[in-house]
Amino acid sequence: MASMKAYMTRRLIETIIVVFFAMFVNFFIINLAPGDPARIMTGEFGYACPEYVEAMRKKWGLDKPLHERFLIYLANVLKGDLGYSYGYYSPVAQLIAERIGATLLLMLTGIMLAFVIGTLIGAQAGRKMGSKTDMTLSFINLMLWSMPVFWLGLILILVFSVWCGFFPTSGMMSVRTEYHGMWKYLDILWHLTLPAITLALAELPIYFKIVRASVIEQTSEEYVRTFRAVGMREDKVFKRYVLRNALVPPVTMLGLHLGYVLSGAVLIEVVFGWPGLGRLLLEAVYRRDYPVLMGMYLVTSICVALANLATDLIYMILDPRIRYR
Amino acid sequence: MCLLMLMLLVLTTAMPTGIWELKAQEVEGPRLGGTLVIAISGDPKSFNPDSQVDDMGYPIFSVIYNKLVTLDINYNVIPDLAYKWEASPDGKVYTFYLYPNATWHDGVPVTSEDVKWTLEAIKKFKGIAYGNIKAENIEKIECPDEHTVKIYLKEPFAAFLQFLAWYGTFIMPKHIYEKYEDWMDPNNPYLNKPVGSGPFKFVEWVKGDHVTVAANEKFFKGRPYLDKIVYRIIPDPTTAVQALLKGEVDYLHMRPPLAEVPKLQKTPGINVMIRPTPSRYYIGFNLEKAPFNDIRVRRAIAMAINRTEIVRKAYQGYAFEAKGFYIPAISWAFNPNIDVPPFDLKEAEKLLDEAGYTKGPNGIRFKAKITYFTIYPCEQVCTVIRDNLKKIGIDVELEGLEIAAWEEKVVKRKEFDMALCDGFHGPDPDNIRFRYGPGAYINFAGWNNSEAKELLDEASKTVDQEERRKMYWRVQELMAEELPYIPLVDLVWIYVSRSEFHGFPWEPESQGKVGYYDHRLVWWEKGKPIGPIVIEAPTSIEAFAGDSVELKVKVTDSEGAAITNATLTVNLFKNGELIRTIGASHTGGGVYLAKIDTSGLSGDYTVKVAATYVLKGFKMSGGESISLTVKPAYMKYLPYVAIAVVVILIAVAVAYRLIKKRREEEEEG
Repeated sequence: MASMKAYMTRRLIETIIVVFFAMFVNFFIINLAPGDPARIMTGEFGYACPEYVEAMRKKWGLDKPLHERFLIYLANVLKGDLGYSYGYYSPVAQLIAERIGATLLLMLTGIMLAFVIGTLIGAQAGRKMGSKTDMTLSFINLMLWSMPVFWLGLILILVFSVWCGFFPTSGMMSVRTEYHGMWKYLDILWHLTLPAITLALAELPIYFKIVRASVIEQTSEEYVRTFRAVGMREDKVFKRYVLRNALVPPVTMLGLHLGYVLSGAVLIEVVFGWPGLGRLLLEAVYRRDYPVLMGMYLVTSICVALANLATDLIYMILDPRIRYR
Repeated sequence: MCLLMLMLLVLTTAMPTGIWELKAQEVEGPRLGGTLVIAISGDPKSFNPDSQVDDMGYPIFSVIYNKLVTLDINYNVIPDLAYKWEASPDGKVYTFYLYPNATWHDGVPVTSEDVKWTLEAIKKFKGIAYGNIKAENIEKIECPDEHTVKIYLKEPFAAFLQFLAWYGTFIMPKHIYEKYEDWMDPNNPYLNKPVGSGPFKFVEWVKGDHVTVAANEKFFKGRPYLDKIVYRIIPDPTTAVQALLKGEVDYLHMRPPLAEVPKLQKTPGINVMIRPTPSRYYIGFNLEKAPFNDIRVRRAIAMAINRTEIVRKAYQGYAFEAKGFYIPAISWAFNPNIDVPPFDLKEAEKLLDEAGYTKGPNGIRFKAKITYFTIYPCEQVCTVIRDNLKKIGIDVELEGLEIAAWEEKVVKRKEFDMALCDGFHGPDPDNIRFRYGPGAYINFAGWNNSEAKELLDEASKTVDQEERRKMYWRVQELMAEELPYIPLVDLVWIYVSRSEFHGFPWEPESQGKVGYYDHRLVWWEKGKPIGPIVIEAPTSIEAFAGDSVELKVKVTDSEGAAITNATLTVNLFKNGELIRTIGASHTGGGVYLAKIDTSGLSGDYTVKVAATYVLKGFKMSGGESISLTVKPAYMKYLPYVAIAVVVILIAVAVAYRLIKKRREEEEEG
């Protein structure tokens, strides 16, 4: 157990270094990009006179040299201040916090659905490799995999919203009638259905493919043959041994995926008008809102690093052979 | 040539001419109530309407705040907070008279001090209108009384009124903002929940999802017809169109995907209206660089570009070929006598030959690059131009840049051959000065003509419109002679709305009355009827003095629905003189009862019943006159007296007969 503790400490320190390094890279890449944020903020050419642009530049400290700005930024972040958005006139932390709920709701629902369904049908297909079930599932999977997600989203809107009228086309809540209490949550769930299904359908093929391949690989392992030889029931072999071993790769994938949960699903959020962090990031790019961009990247890199850490831990539980030094 | 003519013909028939008319209205008159859901593509930045460029916020500010004056859909200056204004003959003093009953949404009156504070703040904090209204040119602002503002300019500035009416000039509440040192102070909570003076009050902003505003029942020009407007944030126009078709959204404050427009035009229940805008796409040359410093090359390129094809291919027909060198939308300043060089490939080739750029062995004269920004449909426009110029032997390479990078490269570093640009050319022709004028920042071609510069500077100080017109016409001639820029297409605004809503700013009933984003006069077919309320009562009553007359009236709206919460005033008049006021009470089902005590009255009277009824802050009224005849009280007993007389007479007659009979019997006996 001592070695485990030492390992965790080391991994934590590594994580911090990674996050710091990411911050450094983010800052410089963003700030070295062409285009002057003061000009973008002040909008269309011709209507912003030079004095106005200059006033904005000064106000946001964009007139200072780059290294100085980095040090200021670093000091602020260490104090827990992610900066002030000049695209939204709000603190960055507040902007991110306002949208975290909507993002987690969409991303976690979508990814978990994709993971569960993808794994289930992937395992089924892998178990019956070459059968008609496998062929059909693989074909559907390939179709889903090759569909652009915004297109899939629009088709779902057209079919289930415009033609059938089951779901709203977009947004997170009804605006014509106001709901209160439990109805409000049900209303949000109703709005969530289509975007979450789109996200699940878009992410599902990865899990399907990984699980299928991994099940096939495990089935051809020698221990399976041994179990079968000693007369163990096929069901038991599959459920207790093959599936469990085959789950390691999709869990890795899930870990990676969850790392990006806070960066949102830009395309789906845009198509469905879902007020998530992906759109915040996209708009920040358009508006050259550097503080929001850096804040989002920082949050994402922390999230990715933590997810990696968590994945390593889950490995240990899933596969006792994995040992750490 | 024949083919071209045919193409032109097809285009003119297929294009906007016929789209101006609207579908016939089936429901009469404005109605009250309803929620209008407008799709916009992004969040506002903040609710300080004057601090920064905010195209997403602008439509919302337009219903929450007021300017001194505003622009209607045709870019005419119309009253907003000021009902009247004057400019002194020398153009240096502007006087505005404010509506005296205007109030902020928190109840504080709007005064001339608010106007003064706003204009000074624009100057002090360098608001977005700082350059437009030439804030430094304002010498002083005086408030002779609460509702009069005098603005003194250092130099006359012809476009002052137009720019005050346009962008970043919303009057802000001094009593809220003066508490903070900076008007964008993050501690000011009103940056996110504004207090304005406009027809709608702010309700909520769920970031990324929607902004809701509700009718301001105390709006100084009268309550708006709608109850609520919700600005739904839908970033993807395709989704927005689906939401409109499904009825979740009623109006698109964005351009629908052009491919969807014909389908929308055919959909029942959807209105599509197409109008020209003062926005234009144009190409500029790098005048410092060969071969573009040669006027013959520029003219040849202008002649080789097929603008009909651009309209057709890049805009699916939803744009106008640019005419002349300013926009026809602002007609007084537009010089109709000159035009862009006509499409003529032969002449173009001849000009290039003359200029010494002959065709090489591969049919190429020279290579050039067009730099554009990656906004739809710039790439499509440039692709057409590339194909056009290939025909006269110019090998064009396309370079698409993100807008900031475009500016860096084209405007700042001048590393380009030709560049595509677009922009708003209004609200005043002074726009020519800071867009194309020599010395202007975004005059990226580097056009430098001293006569044009003098004329533009002079015109911007001249008050007399006729004088200005002459100068602008001459500048347009100079632009046509030197061709630093080639106008390409004028954009259209496509208004898509659900037909159950009427009275949008572009519709005839609202034109000239509201600003171009103000939905104050929009009304919903399914709302409650507005109009005189109907009173059902007897036309005449007769009574005897001293009686109590029960007057029953029924109050309904114009469609016959009972109104149960009306305030009834019943007044009794004789010969036009008010005798007394009588109370009335509701007895159920819209029937009201008034008891008129007639003691002490006699002769002919008029009872005037007036009902007022407030629906959602909107006051409606109706009235009815009833004639009342009061007869003297004794008249009431006349029949009894008559009967009594008759009875007595009969009795007397009977008695007489009896007595007479008795006497005869006695005589006989």
